Formats: sequence, C-alpha cells, structure tokens
Amino acid sequence: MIANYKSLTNMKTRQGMSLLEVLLATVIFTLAFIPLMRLFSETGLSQQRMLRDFPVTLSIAERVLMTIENEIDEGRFDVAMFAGGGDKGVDITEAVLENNEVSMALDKFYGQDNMDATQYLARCKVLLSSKPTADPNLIELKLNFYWNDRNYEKNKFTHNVELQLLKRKE
Amino acid sequence: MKHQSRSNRGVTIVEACIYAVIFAIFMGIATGAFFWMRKSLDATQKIGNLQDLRLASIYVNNELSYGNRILFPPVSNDKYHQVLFKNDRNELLVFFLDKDMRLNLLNYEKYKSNDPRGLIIIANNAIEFTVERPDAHLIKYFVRIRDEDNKENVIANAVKMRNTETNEPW
Repeated sequence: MIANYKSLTNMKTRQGMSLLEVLLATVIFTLAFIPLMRLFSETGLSQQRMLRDFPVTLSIAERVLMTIENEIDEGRFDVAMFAGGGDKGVDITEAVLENNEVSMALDKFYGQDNMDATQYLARCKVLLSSKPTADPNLIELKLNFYWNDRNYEKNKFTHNVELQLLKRKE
Repeated sequence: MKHQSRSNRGVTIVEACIYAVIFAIFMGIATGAFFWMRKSLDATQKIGNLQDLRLASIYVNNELSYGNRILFPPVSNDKYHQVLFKNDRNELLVFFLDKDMRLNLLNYEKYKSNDPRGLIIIANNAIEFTVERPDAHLIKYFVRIRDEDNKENVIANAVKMRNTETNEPW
C-alpha cells in the first residue's frame, strides 16, 4: 500500500505542467512584463526626447538673446518694458515664433510639418525679464524658454532653458 | 506499451490551438519589445544628428563673433547662403555649402599655404545653409541637414558681432 502510494506521488511530481498551467503562467508573465517594459521604454524615450530637443531650444534661445542684444545696441529696444511681468518675465512667444527659421526648427523637432507656427504657442513659451544689478551701469536680461513634448498636457511645460545676459546701459 | 501509444498519439486540435495562442502571446511581447527598441534607436540617432548640428552652430558662432569685418552678405533683409568675413587675425574666411552637401569653413590664408586647417568640414549631409544680415553687427543663420532616413533637422541661431565697430557699417 505504502509502495503504491510512493510510486503514485512520484508519478505526480514527474508529470510536468498541464497546458492550463503553462497558459496561466504565460498570461501572468505577459500582464506583468508588458507594463514594466513600457514603463522603462517610455521613461527612456522621454529622456531621449529631452536630449534631442535641448540643442534646438538652446540655439533658438541664443538666437533670441543675440537679437535682443543687437536691438539694445542699435537703440531700438526698451529694456524697461520687460522689468515687470511677474517672477519669470514678459511673454514674448508670439514674437519669437513669427520668425520663419525658428518656426521651422520647432516644426522639425515636434515632427509635424507644414502647419501654422502659432500652433506651437501651447507647446513652448518664451519669457523675457530685465532687472537692475548691483552695478548701476549693468542690467541683467533673463530669457526662459519652456517647452514640452507632444505626449504631455498642452500647458504643462516639463523642460526649461534659462539664459542670462549682463548688458551695459547705454 | 500503453504509455508508448499515448506518447505517440500527437496533439489534439484544442492543444494545437492553445499552443498557437501561447506562441502568439510570446510573439506579441517580442514585437512590442522590438517596436520600443526601434523608437529608442531612432531617438538616439536624432540626438546624435542634433548634437552634430549644435556643435556646428557653436563653431560658426565662435568664429564669427570675433570677426572684425563681414564682406558678404551685405546688410539687407534678403537671404544668402555664404558668409565671407575677416577674423580677429585678419584672415579671410568663408562658410559655404559644397556640392557634396558639406558645410565648410575655408580659411583662405591657411588653404593657400597648404595648411590642413585651411578647409574644415563643419557639418555633413547639410542641405541648406541660409544667412541673413538684418544689421551690420548681427548675423542670423540656420542649417538644415538630412539623415540616412531622409528626416530633416534644423538648427537656427544668431551671432552678435563683437569686434566690427571700427569697420561697420560700410
């Protein structure tokens, strides 16, 4: 009796898994693995998108600041206009996006061609502020370029480039 | 004998269907993994291209910002495709796009004396280099490149000339 029971138990342990068990294991593995894989991939892709967009936005911010510096030198730019505007400054997004080259650069990194430049207003924001410094002859200009990628809410800016310029008062 | 005939009987249709389902689930996981890997690879490639463009932009800015005279383009609202200028060492330099879609910087003095630094490639696969000179001391430009997958990347920047006061406007 005991010998029979032993051989029965032995057979049971050696019989392997049933199809149902394999199927169940696969489904559980799939359910757990796919969201995890997506989580890692999407986090990585988001970081990659930020790295991809960074040189473009930095160049645009530099371009805007260089142009402003030139306008100040030419006497066509009133710095006092940008002294207000809250913590970060006055919104100059529309003025920046009116430029064809800037629009094209933004167009390329957002990946949607041939669309009106104003559509990017919701995706990037450029703020300019000016404030006096400890040296009465110098004024500090600060340009903040905010942007997000298309996977985020329209008005939630996830990335930011800030450039500062010290300019001598003419 | 009984066991052997059982193991040789093959699979039922239901079992085959279940195997097919398991196989399909695994394929689904594998395809998903490849899809995200492909996206990640594309993003990495674009980061590389844009970093190359950014480096090109830094190079253009460095060389131009200390130039003491711009010979071409003239001050106007038109667009041009070359910049001819004299640098702080009074050497004659030109940024231009050649027929092999390379953005080059030619230092005429060094090139004439067979110095290998006379001709430097700033960017490969460049399909457009456009320059504007709205003011005597400001150069705005953009570079457009096309990668192996025919995707275009654009970088737009501007340079404020620091050393052109004595000679400009002319």
